[in-house]
Amino acid sequence: MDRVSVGIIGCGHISDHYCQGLKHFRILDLRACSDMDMARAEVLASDHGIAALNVEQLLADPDIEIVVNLTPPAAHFDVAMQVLAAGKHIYNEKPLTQTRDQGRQLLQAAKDAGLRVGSAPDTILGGGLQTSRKLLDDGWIGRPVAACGFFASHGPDSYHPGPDFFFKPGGGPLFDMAPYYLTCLVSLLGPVQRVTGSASKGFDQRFATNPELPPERHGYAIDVEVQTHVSAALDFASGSVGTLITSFDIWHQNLPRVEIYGTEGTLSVPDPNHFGGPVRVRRAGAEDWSEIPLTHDASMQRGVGVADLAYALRSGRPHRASGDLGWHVLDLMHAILESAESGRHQHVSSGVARPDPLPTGLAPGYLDD
Amino acid sequence: MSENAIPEPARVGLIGCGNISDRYFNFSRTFVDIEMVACADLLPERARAKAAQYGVQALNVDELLADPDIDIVLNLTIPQAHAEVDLAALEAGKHVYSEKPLALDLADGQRVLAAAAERGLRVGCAPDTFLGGGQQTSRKLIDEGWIGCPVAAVAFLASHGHEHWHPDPTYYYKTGGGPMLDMGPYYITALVNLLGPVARVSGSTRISFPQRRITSEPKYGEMIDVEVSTHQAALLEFAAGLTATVVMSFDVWSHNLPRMEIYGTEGSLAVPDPNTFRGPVLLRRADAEAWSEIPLTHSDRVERSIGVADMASAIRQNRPHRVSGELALHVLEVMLAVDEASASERHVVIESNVARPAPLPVGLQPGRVDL
Repeated sequence: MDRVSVGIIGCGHISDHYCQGLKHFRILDLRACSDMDMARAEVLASDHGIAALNVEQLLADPDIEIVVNLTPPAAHFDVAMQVLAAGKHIYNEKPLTQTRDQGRQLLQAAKDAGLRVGSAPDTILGGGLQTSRKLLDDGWIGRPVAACGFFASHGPDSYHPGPDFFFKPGGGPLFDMAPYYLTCLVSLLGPVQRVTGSASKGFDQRFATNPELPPERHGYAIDVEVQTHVSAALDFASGSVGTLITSFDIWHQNLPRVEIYGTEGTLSVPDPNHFGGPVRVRRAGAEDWSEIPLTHDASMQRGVGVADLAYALRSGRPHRASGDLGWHVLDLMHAILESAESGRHQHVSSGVARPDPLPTGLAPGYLDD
Repeated sequence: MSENAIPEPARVGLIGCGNISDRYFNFSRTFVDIEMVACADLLPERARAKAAQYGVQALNVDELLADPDIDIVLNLTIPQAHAEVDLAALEAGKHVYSEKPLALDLADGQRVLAAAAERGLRVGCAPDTFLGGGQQTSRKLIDEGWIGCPVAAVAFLASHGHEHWHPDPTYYYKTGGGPMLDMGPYYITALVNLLGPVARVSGSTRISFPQRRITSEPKYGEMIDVEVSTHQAALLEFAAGLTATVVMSFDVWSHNLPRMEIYGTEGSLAVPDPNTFRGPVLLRRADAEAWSEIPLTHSDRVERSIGVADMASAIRQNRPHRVSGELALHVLEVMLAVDEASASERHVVIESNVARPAPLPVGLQPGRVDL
């Protein structure tokens, strides 16, 4: 199969993970990277033996078929539209875009141009979540009736070098972390059709205390402009009810990450922000939980969704970490905040089919048989 | 005030000699403020048996209500009869303490409270587990600022219902049943005791199994038609500004959910099972490496009927009683609002308001609720 050439725009913290992840797959040929700060692009380029280009050069390179957009969320839409205008397929970091209008426009523009949109997270393709999916689909817990997903931390202000944007519009724990949890739940249970939510802000100010900040910056205050504790009830079209918490207000807790409750038992799903396990099952009547050996490769990293998109381009099949899935998740996040604000349940019409499971028995570095 | 004129101990007459009555008979003896003197039941032989066992007088319901030597009626009848028996007791001029729930709907609950107010009588209502050592220690830690200002909470009760063990589980799945009305009183009362009143409620609820099969004896194999939601995912917004995420479910085989946790600006509190009087209480402050079990500040040896003792003492001292009808009515309104929110597709504003009951003092002598 012909390899697919890839370029990266946005050489921040996560880009190094992507470079490693992309190089894992035979089908991908990582060519170039770009950043508004060329010095950053050059560091990444030399670390990974690729070219550092400016954005115009990268978009003008006729060999590059997929652009991986790792810019900050506020730039996702503009960069993605430029990529489509340049005739290339786009894979966005999460969230797909900031606003719903942007998401709709992006998907429409891609459709009009006959191009594909992919969206992180691609952790649903990791061994942990694929094994969970297989156990569910194979009936080990019967029909799912309920679920929960909990992300509860005290936020990034203590460790991130520049945590301001987490507490400004477009940030908050929901847009930051719910993409992992909601994408995981939707890939296991199918689309959500109704949500209700509640949101609050535990702290009016945050203090950036990363130890590497220079003394004059250490402890600087950030005014919090978003809700930092968001909880929701999710009605899946399939009939099950989910409970979701995403929070930057919690110091410590004993909450599970994701659990799926079925008519015949319960599935303990691993952290959906990672690619590994453990996956545990406890069927009705079982005395204890059993850890299930992973059926799928857990060694992959961020970028597997790009590899899947590349295979899909070559074979014409749908890709799994899709813009449609990213759009449904974006729609859900906005609906949760709207419900909290308006005091009304929100019906969600952006339903999406569950992405196909990955086959078992794949060789490392390959995604299709 | 004439209502203060009750003797010490106050004389308690029990109506409804079912399963739970043994606990009240036994544990009422451990409190100096109350003395069980009589019992009644629709089945006279049941009342006679308990009377003989515990050395009290067996009466019929009318005799018990008419007895001038009874100060407090302890109403342990089935939930469907709670309001009616409460009203009859109040009509007879007696204070009344009811098992949970106060009533099956708000109107009945309000009627009971109004009748009591009219007559200057008290209404108490279970659960009184929040007066146990586990919950009172949790309360003390929060009030003294060990976790700072509470900003969020969770409470989870998830089981697979009662049809695999209870001899007659049908009522759990009929109007007045379901996990919220069955177990919610423990959880919601505990949350209100810790965090204050609830202002707004939302949620989604579901009948996951339209039919359930009994696998206990003697009704093994019979099917129950489920009439109430059995998985309730709730969001409780407290007047204090924080949200508790609550799940009450009869649809879950197993899980790794904590019972109850309160998250504050300075740390987190793991609250023990609110259906018991015991611990453990665990605290982990912001910079702590691990959870610490906190020794209980209040006795965990108390049991059901401490709420009755507290009401008797409160009447005598003319102070508010802690396990009150007002608290129970607020909790009932919150519980009913979850299904209502799901059905009406909107957040439901809670009309009733209630102050947090006063904490129990530390250093109480065994058998006493006041210093």
